[in-house]
Amino acid sequence: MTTRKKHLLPGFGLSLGYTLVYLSLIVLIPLAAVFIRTTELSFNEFWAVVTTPRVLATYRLTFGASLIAALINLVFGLLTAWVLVRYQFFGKKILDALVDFPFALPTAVAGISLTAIYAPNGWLGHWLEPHGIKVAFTPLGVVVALTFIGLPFVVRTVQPVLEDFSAEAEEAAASLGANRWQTFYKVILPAIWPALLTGFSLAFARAVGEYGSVIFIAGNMPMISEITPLMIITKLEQYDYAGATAIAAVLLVISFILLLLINVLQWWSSHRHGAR
Amino acid sequence: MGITIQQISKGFGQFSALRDINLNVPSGELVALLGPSGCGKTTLLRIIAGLESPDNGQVLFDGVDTTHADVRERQVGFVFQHYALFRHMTVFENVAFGLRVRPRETRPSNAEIKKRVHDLLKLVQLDWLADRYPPQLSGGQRQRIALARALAVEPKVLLLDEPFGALDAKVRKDLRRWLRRLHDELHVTSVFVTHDQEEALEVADTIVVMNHGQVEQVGSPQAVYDQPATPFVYEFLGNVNAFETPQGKGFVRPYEIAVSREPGLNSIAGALTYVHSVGSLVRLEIKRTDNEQYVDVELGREQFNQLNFQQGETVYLKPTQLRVF
Repeated sequence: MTTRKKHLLPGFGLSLGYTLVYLSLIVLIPLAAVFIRTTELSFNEFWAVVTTPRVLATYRLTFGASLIAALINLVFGLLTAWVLVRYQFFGKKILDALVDFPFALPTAVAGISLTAIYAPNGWLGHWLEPHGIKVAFTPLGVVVALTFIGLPFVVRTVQPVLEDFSAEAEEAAASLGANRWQTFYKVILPAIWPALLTGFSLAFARAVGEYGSVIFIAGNMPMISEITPLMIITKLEQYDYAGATAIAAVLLVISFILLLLINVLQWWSSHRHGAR
Repeated sequence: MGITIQQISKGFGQFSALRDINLNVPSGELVALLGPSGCGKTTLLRIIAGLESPDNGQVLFDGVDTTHADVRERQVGFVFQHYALFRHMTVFENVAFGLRVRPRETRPSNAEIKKRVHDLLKLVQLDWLADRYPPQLSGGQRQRIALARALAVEPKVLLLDEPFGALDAKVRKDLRRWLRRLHDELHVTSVFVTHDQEEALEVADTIVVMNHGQVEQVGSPQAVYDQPATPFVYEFLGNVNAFETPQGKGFVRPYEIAVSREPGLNSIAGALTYVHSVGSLVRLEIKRTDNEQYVDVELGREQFNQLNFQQGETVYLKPTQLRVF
C-alpha cells in the first residue's frame, strides 16, 4: 500500500504550477531563445566564434576578476556584517544603510564615479600612480568595480544568521577553554558557512553579468581589459546576433556549472553538519 | 574547591543587579541560588564563572583571588539554560570540544579523548547517541549532553544556570534526582540557579535565597523552610498565610493551623468555601468572617475524614505556630 504524504497547507499543485509558468516566462524561455538563436551557426562556426583569442581573453578576465571580487567580498563582507551585528557605535544605522548603496545606484553612475576617483588624475589615482599602481583602465579596475557592486550580497546574507547566533554558544566555547580564534573557526564559522557561501555565489554571479559599472573603468582594451558582456554588446552593435548569442550561451553554461558546483558544496556542507 | 564571594556589587546602567553580596560555598557542596526572576541570581552565577565582571568586590577560589581571571583560566564547567550545544557537531564532538581545544602540550591523544568522551557519555547514560546531532535530541538529552561536555574538562566548579528550566515537569523531576546522585558520585563543588523552590529544596545541600540583588538567607533546605529569616523567604518557600497581630505581621504555614467546629480562645471564625481533596492532603479554603480574607489550611486525609467538614459550614481556626516579624 502506498501512503501519500499529507501537506499541511493546501494548494501544492496550484502553487507549483504557477511557479513553473512564472519561471518559464521570466527565465527559461528567454534563456532558451539564446540557445535557439545560437543554432543558426554550425558547430564549426560556433566554435570559431567562441574561441577566438580575443574572446578567450574576455572569459579569463570576466571569470577571474569576478572570482577575485567575490573572494574580497567574502572576507570584507563578513567583517562588515560582524561589525554591524556585534557592536554599538555612533552612525551605525547610516553605515547599515550605506551597504545597500551599490544595489540602488545605477551601475553607470558607479562606473563613472569609480573611474573619476581612480583615473591617474583622480582623488585616489594620483596617490597610487607614483607607486606604480594603475587601477583605472586595467584589469585591476575591473576587480574594483566588481567588488563595489557585489559588496551587499555577503553582508546581507550573513547579517541575519549572525544575529540569530546565540552568544551562549560562544560563552560555552570560552568556558571550555577555547581561545578567540578557536571559538571563531570551530564554533562561529561552521554556523555561518552556508550563508557565507550563498553570499559568495550571489556576488560572483552578479559580477559575471555586470556591464554598466565595468566598461567605464576598464578602458576596454582588446586582450587586456575587455569583459565578456562587452564582447556580446560589440557583436550586437555589428548586427552579428548569432555570434552574440553564441558567446552568451558559453557565458551561461559556464556560470551555470559554477553555480551548480557552489550549490553542491553548500548542500554537502549543510548535510555534513547534520539534519536541520 | 571552595568559593568565597566578598562584597560583590554589579549594576547594569541605572539598575543595580547585585548589592554587596557575601557568600561562602564550601568545597564539594551542592548549592542552590534561589529567587524570583530578576533577583540577580544568574548575574551572580555568571560572575563566579567569569562571564561577567563585578563592579566591586572579589571572587576567591580556594582563597585565591580570581576576580579578574578570564573564564578560560577558571576551570569552571558552565551549563546553560538553553544548553548552548554546538549544533553543527555530533554529540561526541560536543563533549570532546574542551579536550580538543587544549594547547598541544596538554591535549590528550585521540585514543584518550575517545575513551574519556565515551566514559562521560556512559555517565550521563547517553552513549548510544554519540553520532547524533543536537537538533535530533530531546530537551532532557540535550541537557545531559551539555553537562557531560562541561564535565569533560574536569572543572573544579560546576555552575548550572536554570538547568531544568526549559524541560517539562516529569523530565525535570527525573533529572534533578539524577543530578543529585551524580553530585554524590563526583563531589565537585556545584552551584545551580533556580526559581523553583521545590527543586532547590529537593536537590541542594545549601540554599541561598535571594531577592532584589541581595541575599535574604543562607541555610540547609530544612532551615530555610522551617526558620525563614525574613517575610520574603517565608512567602517564597511554599504557601503561607499572613495574619495581622498586635506585634506585627504573623506567618503561618497551611499545615500549622488547627480547625474545629467549636470556638476557642483567640480563635478565628470563617466559612469553609472550598475543599480540594486530591492526594494525601486535603486543602481547605476558608473565608474569614471578620475581614473576608482567605486562609489556606492543609489537613491529613484521615484527619479530614474524621472531622468530615462540609462545604459552607462555619469553622474556627487557630494557628499552632505563628512567626511574627
